[in-house]
Amino acid sequence: VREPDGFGEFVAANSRALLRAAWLLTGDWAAAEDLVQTALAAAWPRWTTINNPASYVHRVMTTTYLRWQRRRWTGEIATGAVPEREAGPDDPESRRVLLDALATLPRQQRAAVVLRYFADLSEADTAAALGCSVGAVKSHTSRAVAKLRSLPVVAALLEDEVST
Amino acid sequence: MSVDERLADWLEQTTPEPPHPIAVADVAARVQRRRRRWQPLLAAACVLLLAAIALVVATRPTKHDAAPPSHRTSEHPRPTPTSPTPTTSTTSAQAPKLPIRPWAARIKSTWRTPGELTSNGTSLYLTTFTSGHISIYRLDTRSGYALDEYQPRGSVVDEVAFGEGKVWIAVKAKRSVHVEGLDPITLDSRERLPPVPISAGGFVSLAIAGTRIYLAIDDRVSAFDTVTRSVARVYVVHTPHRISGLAVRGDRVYVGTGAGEGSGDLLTYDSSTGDLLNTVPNLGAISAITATNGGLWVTTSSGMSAEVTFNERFVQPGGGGIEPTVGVFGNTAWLGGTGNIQCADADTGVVRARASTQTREASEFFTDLVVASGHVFARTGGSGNMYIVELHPPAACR
Repeated sequence: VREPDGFGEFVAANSRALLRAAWLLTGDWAAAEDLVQTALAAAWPRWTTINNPASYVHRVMTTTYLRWQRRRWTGEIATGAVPEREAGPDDPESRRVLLDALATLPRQQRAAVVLRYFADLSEADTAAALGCSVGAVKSHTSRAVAKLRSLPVVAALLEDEVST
Repeated sequence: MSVDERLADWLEQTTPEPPHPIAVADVAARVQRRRRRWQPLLAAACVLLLAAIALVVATRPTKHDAAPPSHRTSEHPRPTPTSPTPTTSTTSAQAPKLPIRPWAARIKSTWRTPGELTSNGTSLYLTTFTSGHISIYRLDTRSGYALDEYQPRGSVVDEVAFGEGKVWIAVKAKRSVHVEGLDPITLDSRERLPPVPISAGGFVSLAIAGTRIYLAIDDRVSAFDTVTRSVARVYVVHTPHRISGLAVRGDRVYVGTGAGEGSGDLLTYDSSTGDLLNTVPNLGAISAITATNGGLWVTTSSGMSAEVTFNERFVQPGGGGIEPTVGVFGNTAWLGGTGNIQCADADTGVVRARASTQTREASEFFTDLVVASGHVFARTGGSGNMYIVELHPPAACR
């Protein structure tokens, strides 16, 4: 199969951001990689007709994530290699707090938080990705934020950030 | 700084760096596999079209026609049920090879969709889920390919249980879950139990004991009587976590919680009175429980790591996003996972035999070890494919 023009450049430029967003959704690097690869593979055949590739890939990622249910099989295994350890600043405790907090949210709310506050998508793009109205995005995000702030450990973290 | 900005900052600072970037070659390989999946269907459609045209031409009446062609009246044999999902035959020249072959594993069939393997001891079943289409197949234990298929009207088949001469599946449709009883051979839907509401993101667990079918959703377990097809009892589980694992043995109902939440509890109920008998807190996120005469096999997970314990004693690790699995057939517990596979005494947890699935490069996974008609099967994967394999474990496992 021939790689569409600009696809490789897009992947190189956005791979990190997409993987990190997928990790926030799934809490798991293997699943995150599967999610991103699934979205990119869906975008591949339509690449030349997509106006906003980033928005499109986020949309596919989100709808795929929302379809996924608790399964023992988490999807295709992207590579034979299992990452031994995660790269980047080693702060497993704060990551655990983050994932635990996100896990308290329903999937739509979790996706809305990741798309709005991490991927920095507009409300309209988030609505398109979630397949709902802008009003519903506002509702999802406000409920999610309220839920997160109700968690003492998250509230303390956010307060810490203010004081520092 | 607003709350929104603080939250965005927190997400940005805490999210770790990916272990490695996405390789375009991996995406290209997926695209190629997708295309290959459609090619046989397009080819079949072309053949059918040509055949139809040829038939029209052949049957068009002419002045020379004296009698209808006899070959069109002959009876066709019943078409062999096939699945559109499996891809390659293991007997073909291009049969894939496993990087490691624990217990002389041999690929029976190759699938491009993820799924789960189960067995009622006699027949082999595969549940697949992709792109919103859920199917359950009965597989030929000789070839590994599908003999029969059932596609329920719902978004998810989340659990499969066997009992009362049926295959029971939990089907999610919109905001409710119902249980369907299928014929174990034809997979025709024979029975449907009343639906139970489910919250967004709620888990479903299914278990069967005698004439009772137990369906656990959110914070309650509904026990259906298969004779009256109605709810006989509801157990409300008072726990901060949602139910994510369920097992029934004798007069005990075992409930596990916490999948997706990082931590959970194991609760034991009296099935006749509904009384809570015991609570083991903070066991980890429980995703599956299997009860035997000797105790409980429990699968717990945390992040990317997962393990199986027997009576709280570590037995089997998982990893790489794949949970270890336990299948009890007779008095043998078959343990699948990443790094090794094992067979153990189902009632004592004592390991009888073990095989490594570790290659120089990685730990391969072999999960869903099941026994069907005396043969041991498992599923594994690689490069986006899922393989149904037959294992040949040592005699100590039997």
